[in-house]
Parts: sequence; structure tokens; C-alpha cells
Amino acid sequence: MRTKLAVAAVVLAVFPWFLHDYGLQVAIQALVLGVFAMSFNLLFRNTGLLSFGHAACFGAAGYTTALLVSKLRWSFAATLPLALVAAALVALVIGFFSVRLTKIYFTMLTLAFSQMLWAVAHKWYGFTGGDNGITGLLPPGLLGNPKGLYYASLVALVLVSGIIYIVRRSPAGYTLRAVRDNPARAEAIGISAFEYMVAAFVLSGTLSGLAGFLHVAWQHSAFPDLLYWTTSAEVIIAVILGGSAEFFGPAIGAVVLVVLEAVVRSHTQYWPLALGMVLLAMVLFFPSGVISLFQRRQREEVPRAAA
Amino acid sequence: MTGLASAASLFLLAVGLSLIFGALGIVNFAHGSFFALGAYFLFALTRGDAAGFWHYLPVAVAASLVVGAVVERVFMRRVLNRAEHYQILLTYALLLIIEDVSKICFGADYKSIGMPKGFEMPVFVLGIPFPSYYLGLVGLAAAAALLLWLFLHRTRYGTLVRAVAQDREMLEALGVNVPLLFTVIFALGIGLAGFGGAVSLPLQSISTGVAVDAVISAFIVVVVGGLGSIWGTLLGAILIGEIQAFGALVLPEFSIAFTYVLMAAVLLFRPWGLLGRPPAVRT
Amino acid sequence: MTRTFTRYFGLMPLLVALTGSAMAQQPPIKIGALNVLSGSFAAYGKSGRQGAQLAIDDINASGGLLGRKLELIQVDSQAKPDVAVQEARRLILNEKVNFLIGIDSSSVSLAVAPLTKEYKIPLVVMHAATPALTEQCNPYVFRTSNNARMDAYAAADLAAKLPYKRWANIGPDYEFGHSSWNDFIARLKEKKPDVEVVGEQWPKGGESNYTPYITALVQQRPEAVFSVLWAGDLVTFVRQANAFGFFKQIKLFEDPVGAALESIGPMGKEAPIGELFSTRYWFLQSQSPVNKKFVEAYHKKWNEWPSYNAEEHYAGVQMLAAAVKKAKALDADAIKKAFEADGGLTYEAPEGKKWMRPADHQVFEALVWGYTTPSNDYPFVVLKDITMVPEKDTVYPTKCK
Repeated sequence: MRTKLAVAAVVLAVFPWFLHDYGLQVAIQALVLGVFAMSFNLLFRNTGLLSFGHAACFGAAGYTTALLVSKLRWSFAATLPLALVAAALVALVIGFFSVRLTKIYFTMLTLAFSQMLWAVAHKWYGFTGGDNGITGLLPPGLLGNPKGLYYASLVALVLVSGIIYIVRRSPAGYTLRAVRDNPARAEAIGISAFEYMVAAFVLSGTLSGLAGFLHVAWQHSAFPDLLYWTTSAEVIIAVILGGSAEFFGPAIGAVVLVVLEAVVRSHTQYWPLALGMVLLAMVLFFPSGVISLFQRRQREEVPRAAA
Repeated sequence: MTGLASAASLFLLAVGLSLIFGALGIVNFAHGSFFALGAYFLFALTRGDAAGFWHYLPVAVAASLVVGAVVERVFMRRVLNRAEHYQILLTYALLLIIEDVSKICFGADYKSIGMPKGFEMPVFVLGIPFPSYYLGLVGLAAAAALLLWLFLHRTRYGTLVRAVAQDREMLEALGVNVPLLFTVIFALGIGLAGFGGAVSLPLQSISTGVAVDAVISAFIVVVVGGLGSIWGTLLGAILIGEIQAFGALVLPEFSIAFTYVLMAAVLLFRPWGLLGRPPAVRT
Repeated sequence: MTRTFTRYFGLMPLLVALTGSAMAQQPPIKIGALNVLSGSFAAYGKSGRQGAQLAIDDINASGGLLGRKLELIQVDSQAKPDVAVQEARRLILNEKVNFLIGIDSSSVSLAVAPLTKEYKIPLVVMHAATPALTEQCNPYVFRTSNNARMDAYAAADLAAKLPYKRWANIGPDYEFGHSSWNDFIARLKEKKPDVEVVGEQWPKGGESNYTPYITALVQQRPEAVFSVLWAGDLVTFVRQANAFGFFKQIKLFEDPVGAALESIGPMGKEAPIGELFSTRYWFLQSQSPVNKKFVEAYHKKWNEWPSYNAEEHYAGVQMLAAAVKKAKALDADAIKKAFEADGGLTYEAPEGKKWMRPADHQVFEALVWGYTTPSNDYPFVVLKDITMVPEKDTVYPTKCK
């Protein structure tokens, strides 16, 4: 495992020097979605809760950066702390209310919250620019240079992975999974799941905010679409495509999704059709994600969160 | 008054979603696509001429039923016992596929037809003209709700449909053909969506892209009313329909956000919906 | 991969065989078109794409540009800014296009515009109408179609000559809807101070139920209603308004693209009769040989009549070609100079003269207004008693230099 990781790290570190300009753009996009997917999976893997509201954290951070840069002329990088705070606050509110619910009710409530935020961004012309968005946010220096942005995203991915690793191995991680697998028993032995689940939601949302920040640095703009439910759907697709049970599954899913999209789009306008076919095949034939194609040992699916 | 007409359309869109969730436990993200598909079928059959509306309506609904049955047999059945996110992913995949396939089959332009026979002229309510077809639509939705209720509560098969939501294994043990029952329920749900799409066609234009918005509206209605509850769906549809009608006039800036606030509030205080039942504890 | 393969091994011999000239050895000039090919506005992307393709075919048939063939690469913007930026980058970096064209929605145009400076690639917008785009004074952004402010001013000039005093508005609740109505009513009040506004209705874009707005309008009893509803929204609105007997009492003043074939086509026989509809181009209006030839060629190739968006894309590509010919080069600065030189490039389009104002790169052109009337020759309503609002009535000052 160690050697594999080391090889992967070296490859990723020298990768940009062998890519043409467009390949580099695709690589950045894949890394940013990878950060988002890893963060999302922190919640999903450890609690079994399927959030349809992560677009809210992602977009809240993105809009915070965009607004601070465009309205208050902050320097781009300086907005990062506040962007993360915004994502954390949004996650706290959504998480606080939502984790009391389970299964589809949780999913629907997170969806409702993030759609609320979308409606605000979409309607509040004076502040967010409405559907015309906020554009022309060219970050100066490192983040404005494609190679620089690539390395920044790579560092973010390593950082997020490290945090998730620590959480997974921590007592809190074991507690969360115990609650996920058998809430009744966890309760019986005196574990109060609520605080742990809110904490997991907030951490997951905050790290998603990091992805939102990088996304705006990459796109140079922010639009209400960042907050729309399809953004949440995209990250879920990446996670499950890669395999949520595997540590780096979500990141690999993000790479597969982004590269596939770039390739398919350059041949046909029917990308949704192609994606639909891939998802169909995945659900029916290799439910543990693409990562299972490279492994002999089949991992178990994430169990259903019990009612 | 006008809110009722959109409530009728919303009810037909959402009731199948509620039925399918109630009995099969599946959250169907492709439900809006089947709504659009029903409208496309009717448009293709009538070739855009309102004269054939009543004639071809049953055919369009039958086609939707068949599509529903096939989709259940080929896809749904394989994810019935799997974790929710696989069901969501599968139905999301269907949404994407149906979207592009209908673009290829029916073209990208707006589909719309005239008022069906017998409803061409407006009626006057307190001196204000009101489209007579809206009353027809309300009637159709009410009839559908009533028939569905009679089916579920007054027929043996309907009892099975309700029972399967409670305890699948017990029905199987009793020798009921549960797989067939699932196919029937799913087809019925899709048929209702197709019916809703077809009868909404004289009022709104259908094009690709309708499905993504429609399914979210359906979710709001069903969640507010109660997942799996027919009358809840009706109540949800009326509430959302009226909120949109009045909100649009009074506070247009907030009417979209307000429906989500309502959805969140219901989920927080009565997660199973206004008229839904708390879920039975399954171990 | 496969694409490169077919290009080199499939297309190249074909091209050589067909032309047999030196032209085939020169790499083609690549034009990347961002149109919406999926979702609610896909019908517009389709006609835009068809118009652009026809122009490219015409130019290639008459020998190409600077001795090189033109190649059109079509991608789907999905009307989503994020997707469009991604696709624009792919076109620029991977397909190595020389120009970006098309763009059907305002938000997409604003999102893509900054890329022109980053990569020094000219962008020619042929549909998106937000005035904000050309107010940015971006050196490499050009718009060869009307913007919403010009359309609103043209509408106000016409409205001032009509007897109606009680006005109301129904428009989609986004920037385009609001800015159009504000511009229109401000200009109308300037020209005709006794105008009275009795109501404003703002359904959301993509609304499926207009009945509350229609009942409200009927109760407010305006004489005329200004509307910039378009696409599927317009079709739905007209259907529902018909059912209310709306048009028996109120004159609809439909700006700026009501008479788009994408909208009046689906309305068919249900379209209201005797209402004032405008469009940026009406295929039966101009009797010029340029127009006749265009309409005929378009119908022959696509088996459809050209809508305004088809013509705007055709004319936009032709205008870009004219600039390239003048510049004798492809780089952004040369193209900019060619568009700006001699008081701004002018071009005789099927719809008439187009003139590009050098300061802000906005084209000015006449706008068509007419009364809808049934037709025996076409499966949709046509315009009669046409008024052309000349381009000079649409000019507004700019801050760009």
C-alpha cells in the first residue's frame, strides 16, 4: 500500500509536465471534483447518510470567494478562510436539522435546504447577480496559473485525504460506523449519535467548501448552478462510480467521470445518454464501482442505514 | 381557483411517485421523464392536432403503462433490495437516457397542442373568463384520485398493493405473486405520470429539459403530503398549487424559495408528511 | 482518438479527392460554435447551428477564406455557464479553434467572454442579448445580433405611435425580462408622457402555469401588454391566454423575438391573430436577392424555413468571414482592427444592413414588427402590415472607446 501511494504521489507530482494545455485543464477539474467527492464520502461512508445538499456547501464557499473578490476587492487567496467558514456554517445548519432524519427523509431535507440557497442566489440580483452570475474573477499569482492551480488542488486532495484517514481511524470514526450499522445497539450502549453525525456533516461540508473555492479559482466565475441539485447529483455519481467503500474510490470515480466526459463530449452531443448508459451498467453489473474492476476481492456494499 | 388547475396537474405528476415509493420503497428520479414521455406520446399520435386528443389519450396512457412495465421488469427489479443510492442512481440514469432518446426521437422543438374538443371556449366565473379545460383537468384529476382510492381500498388486488408496502415477506409466504404485483404497481405509477403529462399538454409546451424541473416539483408535493399517501399527495398538490398561484402574485421573489421552506418545515416536524403515516419499524 | 483517426485517414483523402487543389493541404480555419443543443432551448441551438453550417458551406463552395477551408465544430453549452466555459476551453486548447461563435443565453455569454482575453481568441455572439456583454468593452468580444436594450428601444418607438395609454408587462423573472421592460417603459414615457403603467407580472423562466398572471392582467384592464416571454414560455403563455379569451380584450405587444419560428411553429393554428409581434428577422420580409437566395438555400438544405436565429448565425458567420478577409489574418488583434476600421464593418445580410459600432462591438440593425395573420401557405401565422424600425432608432450611447 505504501509503495503504491508513493508511486501515485510521484506520478501525480510530475504529471503536469507531460500534459498539453487542455489535458491540464481536465486534470484540474478532476482533482477539484476529487476533493469534493472525497469530502462527500466522509459523511456517506461513515454514516450511510446520502446527502443531496452538498451543493449548498460547495456553492456557499464558491459564492463567498466570488463576492469578496468582486465586491470588496479582496485578494483571491485571502478569501479561503471565510469561504470555508461559510461552508461550515451552511453545513452546521443543514446538518443540525437533517441528521435527525434517516434514509430518504434525510436526503429530501438536505435537498430542500440546498434548493433554498439556490433560489436565493438565483433571485437576489442586487447581491449575487442572479442567473448572470459573477464573472471575471481571474485569480492572480499561483492560483491563476494552470500548473499552480493543479498543484494547489493536488495539495488540497492530499490534505483532505489525510484528514479523512485520521477521522476514519479515530474513535469518532468507529463510533459513527457503529451507529451506521446498528443505531439501536449504539444507543443501547450509551452512544449519542447526534453530535458525532453533526460533526461529520460539518467537516464533510467544510472540506466540500474547499472544492468550491478551487472550482471558482478554476472557472473564474460563480453561477447559481453551483448550488443546484444537479451539482449534488454529480458528486454522488463520482463517489458511487469510483466505489464508496474504498478509501480513494471517490477520487478515482471523479477522475473517471471527468475524463470520460471530456472524451465523449469531443465526439458527440449525447453525453447525458452516454453517462446514463455507464451508470446503468455500473448499477447492474459492477456495483462496487470501477475500482472493483482492478481488484480480485469484492468489497461489500455500504449497508442500508436502518430506519 | 387557478391554483386548483395547477394542483390537478401536480397531483397527476406526483401521485405515481408516491404510489411507487409507498409500495416499492423506490425513489424514482425519472418520474418527471415519464410525465414528459406521456406528453410526447400524445403529441406524436395526434401529430399536434387537438382533434385527435380524446381519441388518442387512452393510447398514450397505454403506451406509458407498457413502458412502466418494461422498465420495472428490466431494471427496477434488480435494485429492489439494494441500498437506496443504487435506486437513485439507476433512476437518475434513466432520466438522462430518456432525455436524450426523446430528443433523438421527437426532436428538440416545443410540443404543444390546442384545447381538446368540448373545451375550446372559456367559461365566465364572476365575470372573469376562466378556461373551461381547467375545470376538465380538475375533473380528470379528481376522477383519477377517486378511481385509485377505490382500487386500493375496495378491490382485493388493491389490498395486496397496500399490504406489500407493509410486509413483503408475509405476502410471499401467503403465495401472492409479488414480482407481478411490483410490475403492476410500477406500471400503474408510470401510467399515471404519462396520463398527467398527456392531459397537461394543451396547457403547457413540452420540450427536453422539462423532466429535471418536474421531478423536483413532484418531490416537493409528495414530501409535503406524505410519501406513499394518496390523499396526502392530493393535499400536497393543492397546497403547492395554491402557494405558487398566490405567491406568484404577492411575493414573486420568494415563491420558489417558499415551496422549499415548506418542504423543509414539513420534513422537520412531520417527516412522514402531513397525511402520511410514520414508517413501520423494520428490523 | 477515433475522431483524429477519421479526420486524418478518412476525411483527408476525401478532401484531396474532392478539391484536388492546394487548398486541401492547408489546415482548415476552425470555428467553434457554442449552442444550446439540449434542454428547454434546444430548438434555438438547432436553428443557429443550421444557419452557421449553411454559411460555412457557402464560403467553402466559393473557395474558402484566405485560401483555406472553414471547419465548424459544434458543441452543446446546455445553456449552463459552467459547462460552456469547460467546452470553450476544450475548443480553444484541444481543438485549437481560431474563433468562438454562437451562444444562446446571456449568462453563458458573460461566462465565456473573459476567456477571449485569457487566450486571445475572438468571440462572435449571435444570439445572447444582455446589454451587459457589450458594455464590458471587451476588445475581442463582438455581437452581430441585437441586444435587449436596442430591441426595447425599437419597441418603444413603435409603441409611441400607437393609441394605447394603459400598459402592463408580463416578462420572465430574470435579468433579460426586467431590463427589457425598464428600458422599454422609460423610453416610452419619454416619448409619450401620458402613458400609464397598470401592472407588472413576473412569472419565473420556464413557468408552466401562467393562469394567475393572466387573471391578474385581465383584472388590471390594460389596453396593451408588453412582453418579452420567449421560447417555450411564450408558447405556453399564448395557449393559456387563449383559453381565457385574453386576446379579445388586450393587445399583446411581443418583443423582441415573438415571431420566432421556434415559437410560432409550435403554436400552429392556435397563435393569436392581429397581435403585434416582433422579430430580429422575418424570412418573408426582405425582397432582396440576398434574402431570396438565403431562404431558398436554407429550405433546400434543412427542409425548414429559416428562423431569426438561423439567419443571425448565417449572417454572423458571413460577417466574421468579411472581417477575416479584410484582416488577411486570423489573430485576435487583426480581427479587432478589421471589425473597427472605416467606421465599423458593415455587411449586407439577408435581413438588411448590419453595422458594427467600433467602440463597443455592437451591431445595429433594423427590427421587424408586424401583425400576426393566418396563412394558407405556411403551417403557422405570418406577419402582415410590417413596420421596420430602422437601426438609427435603436442606437444608444456607449461608454466604451
